Amino acid sequence: MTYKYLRPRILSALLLAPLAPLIAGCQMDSRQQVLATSNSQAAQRAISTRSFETGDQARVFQATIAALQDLGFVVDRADAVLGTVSATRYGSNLIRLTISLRQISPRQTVVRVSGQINQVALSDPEPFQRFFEALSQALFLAANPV
Amino acid sequence: MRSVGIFCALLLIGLGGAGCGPQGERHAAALAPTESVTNLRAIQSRRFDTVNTRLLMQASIGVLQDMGYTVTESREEFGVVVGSKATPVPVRVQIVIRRQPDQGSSIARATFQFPTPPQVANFMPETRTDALLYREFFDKLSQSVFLTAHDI
Repeated sequence: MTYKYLRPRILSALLLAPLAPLIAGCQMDSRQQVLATSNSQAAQRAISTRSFETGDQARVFQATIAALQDLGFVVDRADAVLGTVSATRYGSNLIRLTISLRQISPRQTVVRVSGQINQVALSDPEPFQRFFEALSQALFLAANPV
Repeated sequence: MRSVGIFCALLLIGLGGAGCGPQGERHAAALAPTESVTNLRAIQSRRFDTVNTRLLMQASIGVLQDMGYTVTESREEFGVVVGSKATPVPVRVQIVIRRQPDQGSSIARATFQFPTPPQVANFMPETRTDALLYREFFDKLSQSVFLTAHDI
């Protein structure tokens, strides 16, 4: 094999070599994007979950929808059996929330909120506090940390 | 003149061939499995030693919330939870919980739909089949089952 034939191969290999880690990096990034968690799973749940002193899940479900309306959200879907509500608020930012609720004892229901502002997951405690204040007012019950 | 006729006939045959066979075959190819079905099932499934499918569904919703997904569908009677995430490239995931009472366990199967690679223009959404993604996902789901079972 002469240099004449070898040179384009070497050249293309040299050009493509720096792209290999980039391509690998893209795959890594896409996986991280799919499975991303801002905080640890337990830490994220601690800031986004509250407990209410009632075993009436239907009442908490209705109050959740009322609180969402108070905050300017429109419900996209609601499943009373599993206790999930997803809602969207349009404006200067696009906010999507999912609320899940679960009766954990005859006198206790836990509510968890998660969501995104535009393309960023909610990971600070403040927005959750705001939501639980609205839910407490709709329920006439205090929101207790879990 | 005759040669023009032969050329036209060949052109028509060529154009027909460009469609890669009859429509039935092409449409069947669109629904054909892209991977070995058993291999894909193994990658996408994990067994949990409980027949409490409600707990597994609540844990599935929990793990979607952990990862910043919005729940777009949840049907307990079919064991289905679907979520989506608004990222630069949108991601969708479906989790199906199936009880296996004779074995005292349940199977969770997940399918992620995600365009790969995201940097390429004119990409088409496709199902992710890489084992590492599903392994990491099921680790998070296991953690969610533990946290949900302990009311966290």
